[in-house]
Amino acid sequence: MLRLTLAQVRHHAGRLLASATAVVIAVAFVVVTLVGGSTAAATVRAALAAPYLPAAAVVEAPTDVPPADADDPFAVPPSLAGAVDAVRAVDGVTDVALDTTTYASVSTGGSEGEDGAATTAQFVPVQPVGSPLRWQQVGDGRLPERPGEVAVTERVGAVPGDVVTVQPEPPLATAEDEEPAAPAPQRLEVVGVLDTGGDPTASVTPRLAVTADQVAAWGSSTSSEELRVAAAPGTDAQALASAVAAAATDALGVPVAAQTADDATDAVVSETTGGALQLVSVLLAFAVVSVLVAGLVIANTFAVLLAQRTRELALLRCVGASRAQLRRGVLLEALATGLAASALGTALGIAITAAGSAVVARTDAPIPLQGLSVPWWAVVVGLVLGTLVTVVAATSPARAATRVAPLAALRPLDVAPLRSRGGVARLVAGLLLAVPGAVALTWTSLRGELLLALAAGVPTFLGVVLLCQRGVPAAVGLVGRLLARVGGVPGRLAARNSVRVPRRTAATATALLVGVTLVSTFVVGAASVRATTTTELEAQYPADVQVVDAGYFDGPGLPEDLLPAVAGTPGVTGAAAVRGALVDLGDVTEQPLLGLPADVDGVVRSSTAGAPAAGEVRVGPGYAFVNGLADGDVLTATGPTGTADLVVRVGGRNDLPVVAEADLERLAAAAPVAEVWAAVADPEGRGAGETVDALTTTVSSAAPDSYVAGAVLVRQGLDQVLDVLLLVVTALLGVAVVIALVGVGNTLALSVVERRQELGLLRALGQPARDVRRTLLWEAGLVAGVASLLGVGLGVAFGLAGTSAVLASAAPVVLDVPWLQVAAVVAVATLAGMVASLLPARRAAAVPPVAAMAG
Amino acid sequence: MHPAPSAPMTGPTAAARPAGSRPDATTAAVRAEGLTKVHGRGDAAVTALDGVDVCVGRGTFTAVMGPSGSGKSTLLHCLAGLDTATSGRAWVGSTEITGLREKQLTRLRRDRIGFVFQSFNLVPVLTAHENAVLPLALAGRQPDPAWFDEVVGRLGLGQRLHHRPSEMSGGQQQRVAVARALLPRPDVVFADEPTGNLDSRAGAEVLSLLRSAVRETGQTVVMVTHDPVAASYAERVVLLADGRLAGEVHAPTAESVLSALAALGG
Repeated sequence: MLRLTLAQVRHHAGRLLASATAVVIAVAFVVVTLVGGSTAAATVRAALAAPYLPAAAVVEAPTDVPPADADDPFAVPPSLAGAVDAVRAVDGVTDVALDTTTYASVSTGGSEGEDGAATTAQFVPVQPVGSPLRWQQVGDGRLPERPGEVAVTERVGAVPGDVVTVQPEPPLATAEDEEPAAPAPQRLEVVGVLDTGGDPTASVTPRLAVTADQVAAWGSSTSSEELRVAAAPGTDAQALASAVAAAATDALGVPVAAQTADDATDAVVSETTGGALQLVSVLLAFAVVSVLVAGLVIANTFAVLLAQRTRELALLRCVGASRAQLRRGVLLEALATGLAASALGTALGIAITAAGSAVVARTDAPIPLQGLSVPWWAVVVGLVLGTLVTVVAATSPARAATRVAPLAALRPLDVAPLRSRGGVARLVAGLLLAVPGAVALTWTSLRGELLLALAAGVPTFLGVVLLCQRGVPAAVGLVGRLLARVGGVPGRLAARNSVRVPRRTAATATALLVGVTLVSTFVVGAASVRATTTTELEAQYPADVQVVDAGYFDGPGLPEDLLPAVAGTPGVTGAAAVRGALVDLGDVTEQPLLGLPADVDGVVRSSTAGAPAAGEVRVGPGYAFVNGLADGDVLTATGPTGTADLVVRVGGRNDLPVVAEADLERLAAAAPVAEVWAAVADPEGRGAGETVDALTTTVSSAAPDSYVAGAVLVRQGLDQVLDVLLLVVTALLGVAVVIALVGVGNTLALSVVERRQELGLLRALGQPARDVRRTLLWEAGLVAGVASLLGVGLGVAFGLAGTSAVLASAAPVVLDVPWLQVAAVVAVATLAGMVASLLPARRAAAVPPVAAMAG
Repeated sequence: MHPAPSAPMTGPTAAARPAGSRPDATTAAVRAEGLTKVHGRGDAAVTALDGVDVCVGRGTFTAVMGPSGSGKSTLLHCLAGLDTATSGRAWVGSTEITGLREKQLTRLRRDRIGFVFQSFNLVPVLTAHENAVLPLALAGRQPDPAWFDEVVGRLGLGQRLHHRPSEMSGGQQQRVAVARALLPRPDVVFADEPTGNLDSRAGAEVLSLLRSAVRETGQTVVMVTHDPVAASYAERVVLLADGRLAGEVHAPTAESVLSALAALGG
């Protein structure tokens, strides 16, 4: 039997492997995730471990103040500098490096007096030449050797020869009234660019390396210290750590801890890569979806392959093979196929990761991928997962196929039955899962119970998938009837063929449906989150863009010529200057109060944000609640130049109370401009981003002491995050969709083999090859189209439920279905299904008319 | 109906005209000259047809017989444009089909040739009615209602028109296939072992239908068979052996066909 099976596999190798493409892709996805994650982890570890590699032990800075200073609130723990000599004297220690890291403001820009924008950067010390603890590498130039020199990371944006200006932070205060002056700014010459390897933090924080003396000299409030201790080879790191800790404790008079360099590396790596591990597990979740879809596809493919071999299996039964033998043979075949496909997929996954790593290395993208780290367990997981999925998927078709009666070998091959049995159990199970699930899902998501909604969503989805086994052929039949009307003979044949074996159609469609459902769930979810936050933003910000005086109500305010500059910025459709002053309002002293001019009505997005009537003060609901105010209360306002009684109106969207400009004028004559509000064209569109950029430029020159805020800014940032997220998620789920489309192609290809004689007949009767191709194209389009329509419908429902479940507890949910994107999902999936049919269609059209005569 | 040949035949001279071709070339429905078909190449080459000259007159019922491997199926395939000959020429009506391109052959089969196969070859997803009108539908034409009723009535299919092939007996399926072949009023109907998969009663029915189509409507039928009883329904039997013409029997009976076959040494 084994020999027969192997002969079978060899004979059908091509067809089997083509059918196993789904497994290859899914396994490759899993392996890419695992190997990529492992490579990233190895890269990050290598980068973060670099300082500790030459060290044996690391002494941490003490956190306690000496007992003698316990009563002094300004006392600080002693510096490790006092312990260096004691540590150096410990047996086995060959060198000690005091690493003082500090933060300071850095500006680049080169020539005198023309400095660029300042950013906060981290300064790390470089140990002197010859020290075993010197670890930094330069990509260009050299490391600094004396004070006044600096090596920078690429993030700083300077090259050797440039000059950077450093403004160190002031040192810590040591007494109550002391306000230590900041050291004078210092100009440093850039002598090298640091090679940061795969350090993921390198792209976030600019980093500069200077000599150890230089950092120590700045010794500011932002410094942190540690001692790296090098030891002679063969020294026991653990014992050394204890010894240096004891020595440092003695020297400083406060408890000092030390750990081995390995432990220190582990600590810093786990601190940095916690997020990366989470990312890997999220990616794995998507990979698992692909594996499940691949399982569906494989199960279907095996069912078709075995159906085609019914006669052969029956013949084996005739000559004495037992049912169990046949089943074992078929499963063995699945095992061999699965193993081959998994091996291929694993190799492909490793190759893709290697290629990705090579590309990253060439393009200095901030992705920590260097070299390739293939852990043995990634290979094992890939092989076992792919093989297991294939065998499990083949189990049910194997049982069905081997139930064949020996007599079937002697009968002419029956036309495949048009009705499938066993659907009732599925129907009942599907209804039992889906109906209560859907009710529970609706209920919990409306109440914003995320976990309960998730718990309800899973059985709902399973139930719907089961119901699809019944519903998909019916839906395909319905749409097919329409197609038959317009598609001529090819259309009619496609419509009938697509429901020829309903179970097969259902399985093919379900695989696609799962992927499309998940994609459209995220599409709708993202749109609804966007719509909800847009509404929330409108409630929080009165205007699209607000230029806010940074020296709020305390100083000259914004320059008077800012308003025309803002109003004249392209894309701005209206602007108004809002004055503000500190007044005593009721019980509240020094309350910032805004005075809205009448022309603000043309700028704000809502009538409740416009200028209040004279004699009224409008306060937000939050302010009213905190201060115990109600609509209609009367407050006395006293400003620098006058007093007025104002009627309280609760409402609007300001966090600050607002009055009409004339009322503010009476309270505080000639109050400065506190904010400039602007409305932009198409605030939700892409153009708004450019307008904001232009405004930021205008404002930074016209009013340096101000910042730009407003609904549009927040929305732009949010849109960017949502867009990227959606793109990534779609790409990841796209793998599952591609696998499902492979399934569509597979099923069609196999049906072409089955229908060879029939295709020959159509050609003999005069159907042009083009129409044969068209039939297959229609058929694929029909199944893929109906599957994606159903999937999108389901996805819209899940997306709305999901958004509601996530957001309902935080804000009133605004549901939004992006019909255009949803339609695009249907169109793309349908077209891709048709593309998947191109190869089978070509094979179908190549069937010669003489094939009609066979048999 | 199809137009009569528009131009007189210019091809064959009297000397070259095959001996067995009684009807004049201009009234021939199907004709072949020196038709040769070689399968394979070199040492593996097998000559299935070896210079066959044959002429089938309009409105006649011709049977092609011969032992297994005599080339009778190949001859049918080449005459019907299903297969291309290695050399020689063949005509359907006035159209020379040797040398036609695939697209033209497809049109020719659709519009001017009818087929009846041994294994019925109905499209399983279509009803009897849809199967019967399939060639017309492929051509985008409507069946002539009177002709449709006549064919369907004669074949006794009225009750079964909306059944699928899987719901019909073999004889019924073959009658649908005959209807499919007759409805477009082709120049010629080729039947390949049309009774091979039928019991003798159903077989006799189908043969009678083909014969009455020839006698009553002037349809031309060419049938390949190895069954002398089936061949006896034809007006003429053409015998093939080793890819060559090996004789004819006119007004055949089962006995005369049997003895002619025996004379071939089969």
